[in-house]
Amino acid sequence: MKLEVHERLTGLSAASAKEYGKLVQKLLAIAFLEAGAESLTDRSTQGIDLELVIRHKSRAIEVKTSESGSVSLGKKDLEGLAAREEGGAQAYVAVLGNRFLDEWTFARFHKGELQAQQSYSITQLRPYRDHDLEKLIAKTFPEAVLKHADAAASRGQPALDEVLAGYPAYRRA
Amino acid sequence: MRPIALKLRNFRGWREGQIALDRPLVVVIGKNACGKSSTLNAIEWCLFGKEIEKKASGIAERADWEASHRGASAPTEVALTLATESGNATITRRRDAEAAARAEDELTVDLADGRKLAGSEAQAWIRESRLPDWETWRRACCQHQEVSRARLTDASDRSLILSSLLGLDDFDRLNGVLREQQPRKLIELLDSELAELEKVVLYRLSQPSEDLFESERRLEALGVERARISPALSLEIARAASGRAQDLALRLRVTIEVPSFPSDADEAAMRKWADAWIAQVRKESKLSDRLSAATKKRARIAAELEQLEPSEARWRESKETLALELRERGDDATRKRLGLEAAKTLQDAEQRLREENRTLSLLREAAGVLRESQRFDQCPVCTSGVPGLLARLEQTLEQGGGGKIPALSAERDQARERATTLEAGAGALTRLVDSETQSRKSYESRRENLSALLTPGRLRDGLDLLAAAREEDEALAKEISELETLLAGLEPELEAHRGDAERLRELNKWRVAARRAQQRADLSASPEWKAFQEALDAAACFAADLDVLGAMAREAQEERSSSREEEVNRSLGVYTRLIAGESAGLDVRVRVKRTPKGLSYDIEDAGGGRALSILNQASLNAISLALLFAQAEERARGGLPTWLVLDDPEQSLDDEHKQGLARAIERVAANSAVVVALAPGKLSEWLIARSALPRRTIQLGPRDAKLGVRIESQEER
Repeated sequence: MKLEVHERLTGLSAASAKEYGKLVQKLLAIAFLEAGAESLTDRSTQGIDLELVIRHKSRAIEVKTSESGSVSLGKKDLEGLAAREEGGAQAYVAVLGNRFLDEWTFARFHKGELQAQQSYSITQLRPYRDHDLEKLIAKTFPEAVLKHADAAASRGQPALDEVLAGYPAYRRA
Repeated sequence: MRPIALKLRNFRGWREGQIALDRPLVVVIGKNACGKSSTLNAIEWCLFGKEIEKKASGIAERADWEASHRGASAPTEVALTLATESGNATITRRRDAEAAARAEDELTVDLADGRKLAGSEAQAWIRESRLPDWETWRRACCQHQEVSRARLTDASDRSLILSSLLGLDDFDRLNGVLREQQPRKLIELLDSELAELEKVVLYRLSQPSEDLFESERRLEALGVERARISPALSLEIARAASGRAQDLALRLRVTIEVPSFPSDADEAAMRKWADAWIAQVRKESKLSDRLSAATKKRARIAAELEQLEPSEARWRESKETLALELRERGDDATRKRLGLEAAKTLQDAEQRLREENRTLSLLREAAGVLRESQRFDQCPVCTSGVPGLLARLEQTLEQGGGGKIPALSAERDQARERATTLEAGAGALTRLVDSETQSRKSYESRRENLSALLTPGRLRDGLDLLAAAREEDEALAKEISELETLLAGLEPELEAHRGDAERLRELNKWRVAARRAQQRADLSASPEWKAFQEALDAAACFAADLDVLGAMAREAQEERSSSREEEVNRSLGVYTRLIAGESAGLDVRVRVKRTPKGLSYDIEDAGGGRALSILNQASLNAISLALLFAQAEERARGGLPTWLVLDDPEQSLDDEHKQGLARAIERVAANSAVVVALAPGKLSEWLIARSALPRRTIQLGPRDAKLGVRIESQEER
């Protein structure tokens, strides 16, 4: 991660506190849309965080941010991912740590391998990485952060919702 | 693989001997100290180079015996012949009597095909033949009085024995290895290293930013607005400084080439010029020197002017005095003539006076002569008589030459006075002339000095010296004023320039810091970072695989333990009941505990309690043997070479138990080679007389003083 991006995210985290996870989810949504997502559904409340079609493949992504370097998944998260997997989409747990060397980790979800409420370090999820998906947003995510983090820090989610609303492929559920 | 023969030479009590082990059951019988235990120890020593530790007294006893019966130089050698699938193989271990404590034994294996393996090759052959290793031997293949209890009381040994019984020792080994590797700790270690790496990288990457911010802060302190900071600002500052420098050079009337900067291409030249300019101005302008020189010159002119007028006045006064003197008393020639005349007059007056005085003297002399001669009226010269001559002479003398002398003296005094007056007048004139000359010269010198102080050209036609000097003074006053103004204004100007130079230097630092900041590595794009990520992925995958492997091993272990537990308990129960008897009610079983870290094993009684803590020695011995036999059965079932070496296993057992032990030995010997050393008694009788198994009995006689252990008979059935 570029230092500037890390600094912006650190600033955003400090400015947004509990909202940080949702802001990062929306920045990730922008990154996917910029990367050419054909459709993207962003969920703010229940269900899988992001569902998108990109490169003609359906993906369901549970987005997690981590300050401790580890994440735990709720039972509903796992059930949701399993359901999407069964429905034909590729399911992922996407984790972004707050360390400078952390990049997005898109871990492929395999039913039964991840346990609910168990803590997984980001490194533990590395064996399941989908490098191709990570590459897709490697350029667009830092750009989205540099472009929109200041607005997100000052105005919160509405600022990013306005940006997202400008993409025809975006849908908010 | 079964043992078929043992050949001993100089081993403990044995001088030389060979016993056949070619039956499933070999019973070595002899009284105490006949060499039974030595015989069994020889098997262990041959296979492993060591033996089960003995009690201190036993070792001392045997060592004493060996020392007194064996030649000091005789090597120890034991050869164990085994029947293998490819024919007989003989393992031979040899050790020189005087070998150093750490010297390795000589180990060889003679194979059926004629090959002879030695050293590490022989060791490898033993390993590959799946012969038990030392730990397995200790736990599962031998029974010695010294280790029988430990098999039960040592929790670690007990657990290993039970694991082996359950056929889980391989899983346990794998679990142990995985526990050692600790995949999760590996992940934690990776995370920890990653965090440390991040600190280093962040520091390295943030340093250029810090330098940049610091440089911007310094530029702000130097009066440059942050918004104006740019590479082009250097050119702007340098151009402004250059313009001011040109004005200053003009005002200072110094010739210094001030460069113009058409572009910011040569930013280094700008800084170099700006840094050097102040020293150059100071050097070239000599402003202070010039001010000092002008001030001094003006002071000297003022001093000369101050002295010039009095000097001129003095000269004029002496000149007028001289002129007056000359007017009044004539000039020098007149004074000389008058002086000469006065001198002549004086001289004449003095001459006449001298002549008159001589005349008077002669008259006085004549009068004297007249008086002496008493011829008062006779001429002394011509002797003619002159009446009243002496009287007249005396009257004349009395009247002073008839009054001529006073007149002549007065005349002379008058002439002398005049001569003196004239002489004094001449001296005064000379002094006046000298004074006039001196004052004139002084005045002229002042003028020359003043002229010399004037700027060339200042004393132009129509302008007298004083006017020129005053003009010069005014010019100097103006110059001094200008220089003072310049000097007063120079420092602020130079200070302003110093600020520019400082800003240029700081801008250069900012430019460097900005360049470095711009060049900050985008780690995600660097090949090194990519390689590191791949290595991290590989490590994480390895850790995950280890984790999965561990889970699989635990699952397999659990499955196997579940399937084997009952079988082992049955086998253990059979042997326990055989040895201890049904009536003893000794019902022990293996207990498998499932913990988050894996399985653990122990022995418990039928009630689920810890059986071992309350049992007597005989029961413990029975259970220990039952464990041993059950392990032998398990090894045999697994197709492993299986021997049992039992050294006096009947200790603490009563006759009923001994009968049971005989049945148990008979049962285990059906699948394992058993060599048992016994003192003559019920157990040996049972085994020799009543066993249905093919067996060999080796009867050892009392030790011979020279020959050592002695075989009395070998009998096979």
